[in-house]
Amino acid sequence: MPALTRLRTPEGMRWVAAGLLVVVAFTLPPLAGLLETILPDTISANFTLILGTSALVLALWSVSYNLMLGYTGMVSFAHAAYYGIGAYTVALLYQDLHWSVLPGLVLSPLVAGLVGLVTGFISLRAVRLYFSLLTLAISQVCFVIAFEWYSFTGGDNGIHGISPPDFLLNPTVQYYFVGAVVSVCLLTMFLLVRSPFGAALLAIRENRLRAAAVGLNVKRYELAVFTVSAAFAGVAGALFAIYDLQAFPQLMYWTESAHPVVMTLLGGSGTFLGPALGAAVYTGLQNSIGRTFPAQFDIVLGAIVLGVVLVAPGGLGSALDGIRRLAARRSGSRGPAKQDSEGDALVRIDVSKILAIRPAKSQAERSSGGTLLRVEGLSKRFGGLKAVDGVSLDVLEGRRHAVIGPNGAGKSTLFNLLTGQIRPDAGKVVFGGVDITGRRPHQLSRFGIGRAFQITNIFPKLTVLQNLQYSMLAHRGDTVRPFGIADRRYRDEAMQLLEAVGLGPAFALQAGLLSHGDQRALELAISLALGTRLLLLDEPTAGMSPYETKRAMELVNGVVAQQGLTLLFCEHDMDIVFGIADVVTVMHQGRVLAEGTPEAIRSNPEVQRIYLGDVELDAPQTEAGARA
Amino acid sequence: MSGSTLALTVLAGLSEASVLFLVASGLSLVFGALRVINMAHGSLYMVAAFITTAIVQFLAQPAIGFLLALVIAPAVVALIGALIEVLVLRRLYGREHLLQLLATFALTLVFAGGVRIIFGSYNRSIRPPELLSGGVSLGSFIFPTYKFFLMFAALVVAAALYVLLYRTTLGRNIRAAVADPELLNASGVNVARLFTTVFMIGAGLAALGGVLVSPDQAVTGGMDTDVLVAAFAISVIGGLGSLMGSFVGALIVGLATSFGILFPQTSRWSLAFIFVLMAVVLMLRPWGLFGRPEAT
Amino acid sequence: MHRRRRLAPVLEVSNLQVRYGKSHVVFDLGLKVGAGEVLALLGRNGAGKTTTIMGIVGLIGGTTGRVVIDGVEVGRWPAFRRAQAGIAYVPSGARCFAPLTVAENLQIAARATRNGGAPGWTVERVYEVFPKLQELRANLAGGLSGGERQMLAVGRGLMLNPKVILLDEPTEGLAPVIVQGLAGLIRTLKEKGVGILLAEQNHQMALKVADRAAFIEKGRIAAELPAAEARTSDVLHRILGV
Repeated sequence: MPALTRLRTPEGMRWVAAGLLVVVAFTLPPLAGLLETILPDTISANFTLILGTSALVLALWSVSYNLMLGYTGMVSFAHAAYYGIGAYTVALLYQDLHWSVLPGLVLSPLVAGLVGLVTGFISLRAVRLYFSLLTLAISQVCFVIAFEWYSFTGGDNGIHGISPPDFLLNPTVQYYFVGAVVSVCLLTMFLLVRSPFGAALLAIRENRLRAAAVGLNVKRYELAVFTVSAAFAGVAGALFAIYDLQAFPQLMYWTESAHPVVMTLLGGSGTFLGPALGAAVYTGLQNSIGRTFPAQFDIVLGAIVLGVVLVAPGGLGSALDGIRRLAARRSGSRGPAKQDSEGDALVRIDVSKILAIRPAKSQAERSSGGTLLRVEGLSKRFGGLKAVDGVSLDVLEGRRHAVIGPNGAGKSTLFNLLTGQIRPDAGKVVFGGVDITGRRPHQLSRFGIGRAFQITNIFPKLTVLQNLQYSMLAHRGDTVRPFGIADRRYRDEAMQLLEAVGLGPAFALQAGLLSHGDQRALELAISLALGTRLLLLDEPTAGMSPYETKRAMELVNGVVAQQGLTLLFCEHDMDIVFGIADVVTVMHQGRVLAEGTPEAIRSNPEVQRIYLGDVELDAPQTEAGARA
Repeated sequence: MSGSTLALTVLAGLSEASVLFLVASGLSLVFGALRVINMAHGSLYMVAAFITTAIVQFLAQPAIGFLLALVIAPAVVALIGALIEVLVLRRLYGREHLLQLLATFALTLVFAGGVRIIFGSYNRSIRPPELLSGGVSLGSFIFPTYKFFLMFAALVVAAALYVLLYRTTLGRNIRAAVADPELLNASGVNVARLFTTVFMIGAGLAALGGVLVSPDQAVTGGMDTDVLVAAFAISVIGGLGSLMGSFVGALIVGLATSFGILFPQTSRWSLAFIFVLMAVVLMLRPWGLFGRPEAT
Repeated sequence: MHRRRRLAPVLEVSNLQVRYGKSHVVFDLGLKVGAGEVLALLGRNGAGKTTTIMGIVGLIGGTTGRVVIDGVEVGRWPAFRRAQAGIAYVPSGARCFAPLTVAENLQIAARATRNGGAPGWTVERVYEVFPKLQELRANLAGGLSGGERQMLAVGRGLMLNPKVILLDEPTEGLAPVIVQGLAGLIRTLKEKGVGILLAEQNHQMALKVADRAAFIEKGRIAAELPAAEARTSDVLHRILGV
């Protein structure tokens, strides 16, 4: 694509905007000087520089916050605490040890990061809303400590009169110094989010369940990003102390944490520099309207935030995107890609392509007949109800094993037990000779157990290609690496797989926009990519149209059979069960009622009874005829 | 510790708890039925306090002014609450908590600015009406009569809330909405309108707190966030969505604060107690003392 | 052409499409229930019985199609208005308001009847049909047994004085004697001219009380038969069996 056209895409526009922001930031001092000569009464160059410095620091603070909010999906109220801790580190070292501010600056991320590690560990004991409230409590505790510990922190007076090193007395030099530090930090964070580590964060934001299922220990990553985020917030706070020459408790009050949130919202949480843009806008607004009319400024800011939340929660960035799409539709031109896929994937499946990537195993390899999964006496009760009661079954390698049973038979609970979602009360699960009883979901994927969920579970806002790539990164343990570019790894391998399951053309589409059948195909691709040996499917065709169902059956028959993948699935649709399964296990009220070939099960009167009740089994012969 | 010091500490804690109970019960009620955390709850409290001081100072008649404020402020604030629910919250039900937090936080900003413009940014204080001023002597201390009134008022409101929830049709519908709003919808009750009503009640409770606290403490521009964070702590400790939880939680917080102030070693950190307790509850039993585990 | 009021449908559904997010679960479904008629909706789990009913009642956003209650088009109405228009939904699992008492559960749905003159359902009349509930009237619904809660759920539906009542798997987990009682209640309602849509996996009981049976499979009506025929047809085995 020619360079100029490339710039017109949303991705391109973002780079342009980012570039502009950077250029303005670089050239602010001469710009300010210029503006002062043109409008000497309204604009003061020094003041503009100070504003610029403040905006830079706020930008760093907000971008660090966005690591948690935009990239990992965590809402924290404690971010002001780490900012304050950074400021106090510089201030206290200056006041008590008479150190210059520079060593304080270097130490601030360490101190803030350490506090972040400890408080993050505490906060992550709780989930979602409670996590947020816990961060609020922690922030307030920090505030109270700073406020009350007069002898150490100067109490509500704070610490003033920090004097910077001489070279920082010039506003221009100070501006460039702060700019340099901020740039280094931003660059570091940027490399981090592009790396496989960042890919893991995105996966967690998009779908925690699925992230765990592809092998990520979610809590560990959340703690890591919490700590990193806190460390950079500390740097921002330290820079604040350096240019504002003071530190005070109010910095850590819980409502101050709203500032990075607001700035992120204004600029957009979906992009890396969005919050920086928001910080610039916010600083500008605060120092124009906010200076003369502080009360009105609050109202205007509140109204803007309200507007953004109600209309375009993705921030100004997404609002612009929305406007552009609207304009494109009005003028009749088609958007860059079709919005929704049309369920074509299953149509385009070319089994031979899959075989090319994963060559068919020989007959010997395929049904070695060995027991891949052995379940012994598995039990789980909920309150007074025994949902699963002493269930035992063997799944042989290469087999397609169905589990059926009327409602309440315990099929879903059994599946949840097998995938580590819940722990059994009794019994054993042995996979490939290894006891995996009670193991957590993210550990199971390493063994080669893959699960497709009842409600399709993919990473909705990531592209189809990223879904596959990031799953591979997670599964192969690459996500602990905070360097390298995630989007470049395993690209070719992933594209091959996508072509094979028919999703090739859709690789750049957001996965959430795929049709239901296409999402299933994507899940299958992920399982193939992870080298899954046993695939657990929970009602795989629920919600599919009859056509999609038919194609899904063909896909499964073709791929799974040739690959020697072992399949354990539960279904209500009997056509599927009898079309695919080699072995059928029938569950009833938590126990195994019968097991055998499909034909044996169908002609088993007990099985008929639990489904049909005690009715006269008239005309069963015509049933066979009806099936033909 | 002498008997009268103990009595004083307990009474101080109870009167502190009274206003907090009013505010926290409103927050908790709204969360229980609507599953929304209203960050602007403290702002409604503050608006009512400013309205009260404005009326009393304007009329220069503490008794009549106070009575008028007791009627006008909650009514005005309830109306504001209705507007908030209809115009803002309705669009956000069922969406991520963050959006609800942000939207209601935005309202906090609007209210803070609005109060500054309408009422000015200086602190105000008013004295209690004649009837309720003065004090009762307890040993070597004198305990303000008005604080007794606060406790009395809180008890009355608690009783009224109980009656509302358990003896009226509206209360029955509210309890049903907390349990299963979908089923309530299918049973022919206009749940959308019910939500608006509940929000108005919550706002009214916050407002009542604001009116009653005005003769007791200075009315400042920071009172919205201070009371909100205390209300959060109470609701977490007692259990979001539970009336009993708000009551007990307020008692705990009020008494902990006043006993904390009592001892010189702990007086500085008494403020932090509540948050440490809040953190501990969130780690061990996030749904609080009287809440239900599935309620988020 | 003479209008025979007795045969006019109290519930008429056509072109019903129900989606849960991306999943299209019910496809172009249509059915009719006449006054005093029982239509059994039979199908396996996952076939779409509950989704169909919830779509008719208005509890699933994104549902399109025509829903007409006694001649009134309610397809665009919110669920509570449809309830007021005469459609009672008794969900599966004997769903009740657990923290409310039995009496409160009944009162919450109380609705004055509009058939001027004809006495409607009151709490007392529900107690007549379910004497056990009267004994338990001050107990919290959450503490009742499964069978008692089911009675309560049906009673609550009756309190709406409905023209048509939608029962979703009412016999699940119930003892045979209670199932019989339910069958008797259904017959009583038939006589009063109430239309009944009965979704069931337990087709035996359903076909004993039903006039017609509609078989639902993968979100579509696969067949519709008079109940007598349905009992012995192979459709039954094909759709419900193994």
